[in-house]
Amino acid sequence: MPRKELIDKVKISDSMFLFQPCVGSSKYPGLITSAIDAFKHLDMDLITSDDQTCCGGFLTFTNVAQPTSTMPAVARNLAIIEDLDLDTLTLCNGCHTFLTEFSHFMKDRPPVQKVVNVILSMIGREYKGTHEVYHSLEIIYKLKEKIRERVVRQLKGIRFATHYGCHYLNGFKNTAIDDAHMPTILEEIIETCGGEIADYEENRTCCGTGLTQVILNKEQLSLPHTKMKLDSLNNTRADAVVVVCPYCLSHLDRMQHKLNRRSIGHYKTPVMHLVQFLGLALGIDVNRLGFDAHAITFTPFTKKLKERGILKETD
Amino acid sequence: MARVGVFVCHCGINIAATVDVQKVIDAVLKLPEVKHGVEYRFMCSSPGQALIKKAIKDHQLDRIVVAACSPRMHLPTFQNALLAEGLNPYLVTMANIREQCSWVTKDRDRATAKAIDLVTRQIKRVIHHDPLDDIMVPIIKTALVIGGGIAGIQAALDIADGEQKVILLERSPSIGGRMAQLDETFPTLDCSQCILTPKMVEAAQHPNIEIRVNTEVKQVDGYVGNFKVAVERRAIYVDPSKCIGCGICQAKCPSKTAPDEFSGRISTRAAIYMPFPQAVPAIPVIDAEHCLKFTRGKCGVCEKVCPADAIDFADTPQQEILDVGAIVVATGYQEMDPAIYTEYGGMKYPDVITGLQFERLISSTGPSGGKIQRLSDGKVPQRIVFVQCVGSRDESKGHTYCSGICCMYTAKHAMIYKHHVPEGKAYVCYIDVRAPGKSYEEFIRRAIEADDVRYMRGRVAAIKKNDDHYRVFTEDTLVGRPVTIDADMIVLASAVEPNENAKTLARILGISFDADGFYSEAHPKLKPVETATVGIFLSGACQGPKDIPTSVQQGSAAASKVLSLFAKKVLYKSPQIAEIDEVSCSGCLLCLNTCHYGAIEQVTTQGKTKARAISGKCQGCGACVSVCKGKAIAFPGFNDDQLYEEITACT
Repeated sequence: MPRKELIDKVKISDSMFLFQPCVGSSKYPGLITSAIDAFKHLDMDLITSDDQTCCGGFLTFTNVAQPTSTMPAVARNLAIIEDLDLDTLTLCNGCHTFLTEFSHFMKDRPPVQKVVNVILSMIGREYKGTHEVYHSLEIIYKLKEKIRERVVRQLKGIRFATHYGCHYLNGFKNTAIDDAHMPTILEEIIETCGGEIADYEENRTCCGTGLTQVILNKEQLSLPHTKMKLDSLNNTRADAVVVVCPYCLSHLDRMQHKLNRRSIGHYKTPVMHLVQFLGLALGIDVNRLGFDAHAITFTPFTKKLKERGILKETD
Repeated sequence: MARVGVFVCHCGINIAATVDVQKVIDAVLKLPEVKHGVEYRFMCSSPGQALIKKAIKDHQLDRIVVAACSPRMHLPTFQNALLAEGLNPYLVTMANIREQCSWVTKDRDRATAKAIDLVTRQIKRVIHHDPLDDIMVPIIKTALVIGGGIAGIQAALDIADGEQKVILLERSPSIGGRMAQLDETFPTLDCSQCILTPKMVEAAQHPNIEIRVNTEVKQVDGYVGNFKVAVERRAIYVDPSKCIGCGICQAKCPSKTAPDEFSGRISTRAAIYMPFPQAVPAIPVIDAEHCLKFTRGKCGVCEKVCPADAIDFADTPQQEILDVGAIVVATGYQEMDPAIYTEYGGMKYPDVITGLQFERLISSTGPSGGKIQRLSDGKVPQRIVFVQCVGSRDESKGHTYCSGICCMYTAKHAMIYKHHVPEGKAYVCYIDVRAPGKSYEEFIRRAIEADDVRYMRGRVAAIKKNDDHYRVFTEDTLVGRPVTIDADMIVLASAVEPNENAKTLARILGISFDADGFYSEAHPKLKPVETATVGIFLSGACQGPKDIPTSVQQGSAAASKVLSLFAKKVLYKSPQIAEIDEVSCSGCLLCLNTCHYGAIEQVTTQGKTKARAISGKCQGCGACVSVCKGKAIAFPGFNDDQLYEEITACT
C-alpha cells in the first residue's frame, strides 16, 4: 500500500543531482548512463559532480567507522549539492538511507548540525539542510503517468520479478513511500511499461549482502541465504529481476555466477536496475544500458525481446 | 449573631495521633461566634451524630462545622443529622483535617496549628451560609436503550420487566448485534442463536418495549429525567406496517452482488434483504446503493412479487423527537480491519480471514452452510493457523490494550474446526493465554488436551503465499527456535475496537471516552455503568472489550440503575449550581465555551445576547464562575462573601 501522504511530498524539478553510487559506477557503469538518458527522456537533467565522494554508508554498515566520523562526509556531499541548488536523486538504497537518515538527524538536532559545520568550515563549506534527498524509485513512481505516455518499447509478455532491497523500505521508515511488508510501487512501474509481474515467495527476503555482512563474515551466512532466494526465483521462471539498489544488483548477479561455478545450482536470471529497466522501456540504445557488464548474460533476454519484436534486430 | 458549633473528630488515631484535638477546641472556642465545641473519637458514628443533634438542641446552634475527613466522604452524613433537627442541611461545612493535615505530616505542633487554621476558616465561612432548598425535577419514565445487541436487549428486558417503558434503538435492520453472528459460545459450546433468539422475540413481544430499527441518534438535549432525543430512521423503502416478512422479494431480487455485512463481507446478499433468517423484526430493507431501481432506474421486481404491497420506493428518512428520562448506551464494538498488517498479507490473501469471518464460515446459517472450506477454492483446509493478538497488545500497529475475548474464541474456533475436520491440524500462535472467567481455563485445557490443538507461544512474524498454500513464520519461545508452518487457511484474531462513529455519538450524548475511544464510566471501580453525565448509563462492549456474560451482567446493572432512578417520584438536585444574572451578563459567552456539560445556552433578551444556565444540566463544577469577567454568575454555597471570609481567616 503506497503511502499517499508521502508521495504527495515528493518534489519533481527540471534538474536533479545524480548521486553516483560506488558499486553502480565502478561495477555497473550502465546505471549512470541509462539514468542520465532515461531521465532526459522524461524532461529531467541529471547533474553530476566530480567533487562528490562515497556516501560513507559502507564504512558505517560494516562497523569500520563510527557514525560521528562519517557524518561530516555526508554533510560535505550535501553541502556541495546545496551549492548547486538541487535536490538529490540516488540510485542506491544505501546512499538513500544514509543521506536521508543523517540529514534528518542533523536537521532535527541543531547542536549536531552546528558541530558538523565547525568541521566543514575547515574546508570552507556549510551544510544548511535546505534540500531534499529522493530515491530514483520515488521519482520514477511520481513520473508514472508521464512514463505511460512516453513508453517506446511496450514490454508485453515479459515476466519481471521484483526485489526492493532491505535498506529502502526498512531502512529509514519515516521517508519510504511504500509499506515495508507489501510494497507495490515497483510492480506498478513495471506494469505501466507493459511488463508482467512474476511473483515469488522470497520477494521480501534480503539479497544477502547487507545484514549478513558478506565482506566481514565471508560467506558462511550469506551464501545459503542468497541460495534460498535464488531457488525461489528460479521457480518463478522470470525473464529478469528488477532491483532498485546496485548492491542488491551486484550480489544477486555475481552470486548466481559464483554458485554456478561451484556447481551448487544452475541460475541464469539476469538482474537489472530500475533505471536500466526504464531506459529499456523508454527506447534507449541497448548498448548504453550496459548489460554487458553483468555476470549473468542478457543474451537470452534480448533474444526473447527480439523474437517478440520489442527490440529490433539492429538493436 | 450566628451560633456555631464545632465538632472535632479523632478518627481513631488517624487524626488524634498527629493533631492535638483538645487544643483545636480550646483555640476555636475563643472566637465569639463559637458557642459550643467538643471532640469525639468517631464523629460519623451514631453516638457522634447524636452528640451533634443534642448540641443543636441544648445550645440553640444554627451553624455547624465538623473537623474530620473529606466532605466527599461524610458531608451527607452530617447534613442528615442537621435535617433531623430541623436545620437546613446547607448550614454545615467540613474542615478536612485528615487528608489535608494529619495524614501528610508527623510534626504534631505544626499539624495542630494548621488544623486550627482550617477549622477557623470554615467557621468564618459558615457564618455566611444561607439556607438553600433542593431543586425538584420531574422524571419522564421512559428509557432509551441505544444499541440492540445482547447488552442492549438485556437492559431493555430488565427495565421493561420493572414495568417501565423502553425504546430500543438499533442502527441495523435487526436487533441481535454481534451475538447473532456467532456460531457457538464459549465455554459451553451452546448455540449462540438458540439462546439469543428467545430473548430477541421476548423483546419484540414485550408490551413495554418499542423496537426501532434502522434508526440512529442525531441530537440529545435536556438532562436527567428529561432528555429530548432527536432520532432519524433512514429510508428503507419497505412499509413495516404492511410487510408480512414472507421473504419472496429477497429470493426474487435480481441484484445479488452486494457484500454481506453480516457475514463480514465474505459472501454477497440481495439488494432487498433481511440480515439473517431469525431477524427481529422480520422486515427486509432495500439497500439503495445496490438496488437496480435506484442505480439504473428500472427493475421493481420486488414491488411486483410482494403479496402485501409493502414496497414503497418513495420512502424518505423520518425524524422524530423522543422524550425519555434515562439513556442506556449499548452500542457495542467493531472488529478491527487487519489490512494494516501487511506482514500478514494485508487481507489481500483470500484464505487469510478474521475471527468474525471464520465465525460465519462455521455457522450453519453462514454462506457455506456450516461447512469449513477455503474461500479461494472451496477445499476443506487440512491445516489452520490461528494467529492471536492481531491489533491487540501491539503498540506499533494496533491497540495497546488486550481485547480480552480472543484467547477464548480462538480456542473455541480451533475446537470446532477439530470437531468438523478431525484429521486436520490446528495451530494457535499466542503471546499469553488469558482465560480468567469461570470455566475458561478448563476450556483452553480441553482444546489442548481433548481436541489436540497445538499451542505455540510466539508472535507471528510474517505470512507468505506460495502457490495455493500459505507459509507462516513464527517462533516457539518456550523452546527458543524459529518455526515455519505450512497452512491452508489462517484466522487472525482481530482486535475489538470502538465503533467507527463512537466518538461522534459520545459528543452527541455529552459523555466522555478514553484514549482508545471506549466510553468512560464515572468511576472505574465504584460506578462501572454510570457516565459522568447523570442519567446516561453504559452497557456492554462500548465501554471496553467484553464477552457475552459480562455484557449481560452490565446490561442488567444498567437496567437496575434506570429502575432505581424511575422509582423516585421526582428528582432532587443540589441547589449548588450556576445562576446567571441577565442584567449584568455582557453576553461574551466565555462561560458557554468553558462549560464541559453543555449547561449554558445562548439566549437573546431584548435584542441582546445573553448566557443562560440550564439548571437541569449544570453539575455545579463552578468553571463558568471563574471565567465570568462581569461577575454575573452566582453560585450558591460558593459566593464571594463566603470565599473571601474563608481566605482572610488564614493566618
